[in-house]
Amino acid sequence: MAVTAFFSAFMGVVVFFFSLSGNMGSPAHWIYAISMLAVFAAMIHTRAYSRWRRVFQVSFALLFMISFIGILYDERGSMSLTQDTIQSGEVPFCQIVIPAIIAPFALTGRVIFPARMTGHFASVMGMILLWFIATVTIGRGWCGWVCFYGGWEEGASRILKKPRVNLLSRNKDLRSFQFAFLFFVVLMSLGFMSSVYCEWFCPFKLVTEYAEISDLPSLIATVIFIGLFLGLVIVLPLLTRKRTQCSALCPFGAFQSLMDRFSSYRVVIDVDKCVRCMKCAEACSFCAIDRETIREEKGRPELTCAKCGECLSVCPTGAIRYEFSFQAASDARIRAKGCSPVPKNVPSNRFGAYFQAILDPQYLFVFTAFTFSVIVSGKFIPDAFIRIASIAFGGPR
Amino acid sequence: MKRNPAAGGASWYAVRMLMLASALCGATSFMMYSDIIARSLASVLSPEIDPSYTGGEIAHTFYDPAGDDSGYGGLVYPTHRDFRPGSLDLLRYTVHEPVWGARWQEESEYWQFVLSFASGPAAVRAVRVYIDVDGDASGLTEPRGSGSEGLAFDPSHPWDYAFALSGAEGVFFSADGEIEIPIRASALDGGKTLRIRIPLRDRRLHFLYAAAMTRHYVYVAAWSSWSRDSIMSAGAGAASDRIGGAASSFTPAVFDIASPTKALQEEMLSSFDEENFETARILPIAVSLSGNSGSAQAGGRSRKKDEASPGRSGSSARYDSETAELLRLASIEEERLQREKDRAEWISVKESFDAKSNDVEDLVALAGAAFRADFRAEAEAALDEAFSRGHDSSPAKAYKGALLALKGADAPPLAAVSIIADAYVYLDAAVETAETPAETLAARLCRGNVSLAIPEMVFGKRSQGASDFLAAAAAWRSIDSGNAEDIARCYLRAALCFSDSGKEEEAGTWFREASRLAHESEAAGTPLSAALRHELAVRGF
Repeated sequence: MAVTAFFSAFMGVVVFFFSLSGNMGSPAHWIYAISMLAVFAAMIHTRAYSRWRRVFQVSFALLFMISFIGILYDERGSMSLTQDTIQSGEVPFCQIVIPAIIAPFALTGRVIFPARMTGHFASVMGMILLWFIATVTIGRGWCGWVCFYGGWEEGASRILKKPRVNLLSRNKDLRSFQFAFLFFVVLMSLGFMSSVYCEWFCPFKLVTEYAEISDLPSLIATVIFIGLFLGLVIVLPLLTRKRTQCSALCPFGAFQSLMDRFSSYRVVIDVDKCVRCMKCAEACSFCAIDRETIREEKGRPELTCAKCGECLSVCPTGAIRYEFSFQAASDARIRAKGCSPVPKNVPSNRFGAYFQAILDPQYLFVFTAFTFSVIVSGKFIPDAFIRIASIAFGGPR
Repeated sequence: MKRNPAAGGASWYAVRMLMLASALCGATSFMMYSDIIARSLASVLSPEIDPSYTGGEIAHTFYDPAGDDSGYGGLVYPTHRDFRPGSLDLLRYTVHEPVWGARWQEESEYWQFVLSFASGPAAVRAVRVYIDVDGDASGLTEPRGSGSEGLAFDPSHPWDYAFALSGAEGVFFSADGEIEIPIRASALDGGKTLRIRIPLRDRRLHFLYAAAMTRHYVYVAAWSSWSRDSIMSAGAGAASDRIGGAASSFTPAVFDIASPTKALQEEMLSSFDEENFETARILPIAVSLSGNSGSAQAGGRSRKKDEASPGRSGSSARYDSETAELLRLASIEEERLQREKDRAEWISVKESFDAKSNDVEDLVALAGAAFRADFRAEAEAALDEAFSRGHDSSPAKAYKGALLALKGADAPPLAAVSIIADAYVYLDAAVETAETPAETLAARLCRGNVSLAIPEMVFGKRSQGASDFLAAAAAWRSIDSGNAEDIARCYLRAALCFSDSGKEEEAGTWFREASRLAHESEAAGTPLSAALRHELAVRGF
């Protein structure tokens, strides 16, 4: 309880700073603040991280769509990407574009996306800074905890209790395809000096903004967007209980998997405690745990782990946990020498136990990941509440 | 399995304490300062959008003086309510390099032009741009149509291609009449900016990709659907459908032309000869394009060119740096003297203030004097007293907001955000309730200065700050049009706001306007303050 109170108090400060400050008189912001604090407290108290994360991410995806489309209508009167928006360089920039812009920027010093550089919630520099700090802290945890698109697949993958199609044996192929697709996108973007993924493959165009259908190529692109959304974001997650778009197509996901080595936290599997029941492999939404991962006692999920915590919640022996990266690396080195890492000292007094508990990497990871959830959702969710209220009850927003 | 004895101990706690601190405050603090970090990063990396999305490389930006929208010097706007002050005042004319193979665009081959005006709407303007592309004697020296604008072009640079806009609709045409393409301008920012894209699909226009030197005649008239050539005619007195202030029937019905100075514009537009039936003749501005085959001609020049600022020409880098240093030292002295003056004023106001007086205006004046002399506690006490007596004038709210913002600057970051938000409640109310030019001035200056001082990414107030400073400049002009010092300072701060919000071209306009006032004042023997000239000098103006 004391640990819950400790972290919740700090989360209160985060929620205040990123949402409530300047909006103290807004009921929508208060509802948001209280809801987020309640979800966070429940997460810490029950340790059912994944369940509450899921609640947040699904809600966020829906409310983000409402808010974002509303903002587009306010700014340009339509959801469609107009020529004026492109020519003015005011297309909102999202994190998925980051891997595609790096190589062209390195070679030409130019960003191949018509977005604002600074001074806007979806500016290039703003998103890159957010991505940078997220990378060095939670790494690919962004996909599992923060991504405003991920909730669509998360929701669809939870509709059926059991998977109708088992993808476990195809995990490796899906991962390979995702990295190959990242390579393709980076290469094509460099070749055409244009974000090819946004132009042809982004399924989330359907829930954010889409290009005007003015000619045959734009019609074909629209058919691809709709097909990918229905296939990879709705139908396949429904049948497989996996986040198939995140696991197979998203270039940012693959890129972030490669960048994850710079993150501060990772998921580790204690091979001594593991009973090889394979529940974690079946539960993993990101196809990051194979049968081989367990059998070969790798001690950690594969590269594409998004730290969502699904495996932690289903492990019957508590063999899976969040760990500091440096600790995980040090433990791995010790194991490689044939030794066993020393377990932490258990203090004899209550204060010592409390002090040690708040230093537990699982709390620190969850706190950090949820901080990003608040940073990214702090403006959109209250805005969506206000828009919904104005539609439901009338009156100005 | 053996145990490793090296693990655990004090370092275990030390490292984890560090992780705890970074988890609790790391991301929050980083995002709090992300504005500063983003700007620093942007200044190091200098990222820019690939120009093919936004119109191509800028070949040339011509900065036209602000406030020269009186044609030959005496033209008056029509009285129709759609004409707002500055709606025919050209500020910038930007020519881009022709683009081919652009992605995400309706036209993958185009040539873009951008015209910026002091205010909207776009619907009242008739814009004409005549271009001499080949530099030879072919082409025409009169505008197309019946010549209702009343001017002619330099015979040594006859035009080959042109575009004419009436509101947002227009046409691109050639002098030989073989090419005529309908075009449409995008009216942005409430009609202050017009973006024109000339489609270059026609193979006959592909030679433009190789063009090196071009000359442009750019002028702005008042649009009327009833008039010949859609250009409103000029008469002695203004009416709803007539321009006023024409000196003769030969006076060009043109409000603004692209010309480096107002004096030159007036000279050109007054060059008509009524006795010999000669219309006024205007000179073009030169725009060099890179040109695939013309790169040798453009060699050695930056691809992105601005018109040279007046202060720069003929000055060596050493001279500039020495001047800047001298101005900096002088500005420190000026600041000290100003501080002493403000303190003397505060003491004088305080001594003459009768504490028992019921006049709350005196309290606000006292607060204002204390605020300027940096006696914040006294200023706040006086304002609180005024508010407690039910006084809520615009200046009082403006000072209160500014004082709160100053408190925010000294507060810890989390508290600062809340305090600044509270400050804006007062500052916004001050602007909304300002009635007289003096009140507008106080309210806009207070809000503008706060907007310029606070982090942009957290609050996003720089654009608002820029419009506050421009409104304050307008208020100064209506109170005391000869006050070049304060007007220039407003322009300078507006430019800084625009620059911080990434609007470099807008910033360029107002840096140039401040610089122009500085040069005019210097020429008149009343130089502006060293602080202002130093600010301009360090930016190369």
